[in-house]
Amino acid sequence: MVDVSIVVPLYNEEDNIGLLHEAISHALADFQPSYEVVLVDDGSRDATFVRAAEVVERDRRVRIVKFRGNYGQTAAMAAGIQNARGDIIVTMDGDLQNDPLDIPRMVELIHAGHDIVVGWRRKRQDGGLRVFVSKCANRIMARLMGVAVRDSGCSLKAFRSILIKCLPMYGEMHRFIPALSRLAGARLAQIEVRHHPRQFGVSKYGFSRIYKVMLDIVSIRILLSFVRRPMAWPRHMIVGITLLGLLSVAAAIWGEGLALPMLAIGVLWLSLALFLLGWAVIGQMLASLTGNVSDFASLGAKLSTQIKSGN
Amino acid sequence: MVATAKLDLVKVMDISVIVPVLKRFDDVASVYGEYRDRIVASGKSYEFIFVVDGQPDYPVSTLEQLQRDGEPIEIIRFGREFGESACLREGIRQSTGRHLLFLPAYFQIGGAAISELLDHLDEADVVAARRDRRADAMFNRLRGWGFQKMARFAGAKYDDPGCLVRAVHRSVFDEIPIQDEKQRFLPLLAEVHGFKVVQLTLPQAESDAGRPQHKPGVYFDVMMDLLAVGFLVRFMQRPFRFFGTVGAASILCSLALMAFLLFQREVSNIPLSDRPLLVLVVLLLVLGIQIAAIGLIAEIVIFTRGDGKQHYRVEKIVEHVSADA
Repeated sequence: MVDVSIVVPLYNEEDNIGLLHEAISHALADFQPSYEVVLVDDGSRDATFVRAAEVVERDRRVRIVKFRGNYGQTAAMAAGIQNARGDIIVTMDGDLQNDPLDIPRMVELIHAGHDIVVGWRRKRQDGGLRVFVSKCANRIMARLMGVAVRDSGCSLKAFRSILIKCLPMYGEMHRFIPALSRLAGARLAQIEVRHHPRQFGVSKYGFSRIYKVMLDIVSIRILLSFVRRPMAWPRHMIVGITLLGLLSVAAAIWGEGLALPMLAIGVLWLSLALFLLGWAVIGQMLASLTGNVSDFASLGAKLSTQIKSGN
Repeated sequence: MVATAKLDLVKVMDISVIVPVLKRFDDVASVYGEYRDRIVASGKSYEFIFVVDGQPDYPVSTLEQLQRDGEPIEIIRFGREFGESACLREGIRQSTGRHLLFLPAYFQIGGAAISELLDHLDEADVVAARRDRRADAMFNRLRGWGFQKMARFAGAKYDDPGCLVRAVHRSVFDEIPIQDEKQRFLPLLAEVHGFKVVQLTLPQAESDAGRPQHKPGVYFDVMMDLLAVGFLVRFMQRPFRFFGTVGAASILCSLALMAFLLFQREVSNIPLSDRPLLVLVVLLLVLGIQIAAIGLIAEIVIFTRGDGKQHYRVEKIVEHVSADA
């Protein structure tokens, strides 16, 4: 059994692997808990896998999960996390922009009672546009999700394994882990981490366009409220739209004579409210068909009891 | 002396050839003869499975005659029409071969091309053929070209989905079930699942060139399949990205129209309340919200039900194994 698992998704990083391994070994040389490294090869087209296999030869703490094709960063992280054996899981990028020297501090914070520790790249070493887009995305996310994470694009994060293994990971969910874990009642800490400019290769996991992030935020936000109360996710909309519809109908009737366009509009709004009600019922149906949703909601309780028994 | 023990209880063939006999077929005996000769020439062990979709005038008697003559043929006959994917599914279930070779019951590619296809079997999990249409009739070429462009638009990278000739490793079907007529896009689906796919350009058979092929109704069905596959491949993980975009577009239209109406009221003093165009504004808004809501429901479906199915495929895990293990 190991204490800390370090999960590193790799995509075409043949030059960086050796350095990465050295950096991790160096950073964790004086580190008390035992650790393992899980490298996930996300269907690289270069010699990444061969280099990684050489590292495994040298160091028995390293493992590789090789994908059959390229499935993206979230999938790579999910696979690494599923295959990790540690009680604490640390994720980081394979491009050496994160510094493993920050890992011991993060692990300490977890031991101190936090469930998730998020890195904040205060001095980012990337191009100006990239930083700007990312800052905008973070602002919007903080406002909409109610989670004040300064830098959700930073891959360097540490989690309690019981927490992260319960969170859904598909699409581009890894960006939203802090928000999702807040829902489960996790205690979140944020620390400044070092950030280095890229030495080899080019950036692979590019920032997606901002409207995609916004769409994702909307859907995650709805998912969160769905998990809390499966039938009530469109409740604000239903109430608002019903009122709007009733107002329109009233306005149509009270005027001099019957205002037909207004009446039509009122009926349209009311029909929309009905439809949304229908969707809400479907949501409830889906929730009661699977145990997932209630599992997720009870995760918070599980976490807090874990900590009590740990102390 | 070297002694080898054979442990196979069922004899495993190298190749199972599956031939669905549907609406369109040539003289089955000559088709069979041509295909068989090519496979025999390659030196691999083989079996033929003909799946006859239930129509009384299909050439079952010819096949039965061949079977009586001692050819390695298996015949599956449906009581009524079930369509191509049912034929393939049943054929796959009956087959024992390591590789499955799908061929139509008519000459779609030249006989010599079969040999070429067989040469590439070990290079990839799926070997798909595309017809070289240079000799084809003008209309067919135009149609094939149009279809190809549509397929590209929907995200399919492989040309000529209408060409049935494919060699597929058995393991592919452990992960991709054949259903809903999606077998046309098998190469694309296989690639999404992480299998290696190779596409060969093979000469079209002379008799395939120049004849009209489908009824118009087929085109619509194929387009729907294409959309379904394209959607699955692109937005399976994030359905709201699709529905949200469409919904947002509708809402934006409505807001633009509303702005125009407000502008007219301010400038030209046309009162807003009795304008029928206002209904359109609200209609677009309602439509946008509804489409977005469908997307959200899709997200919820994936969230609640998608966890059991992993969306990535691990090829292997490399690690040190301790000596006493």
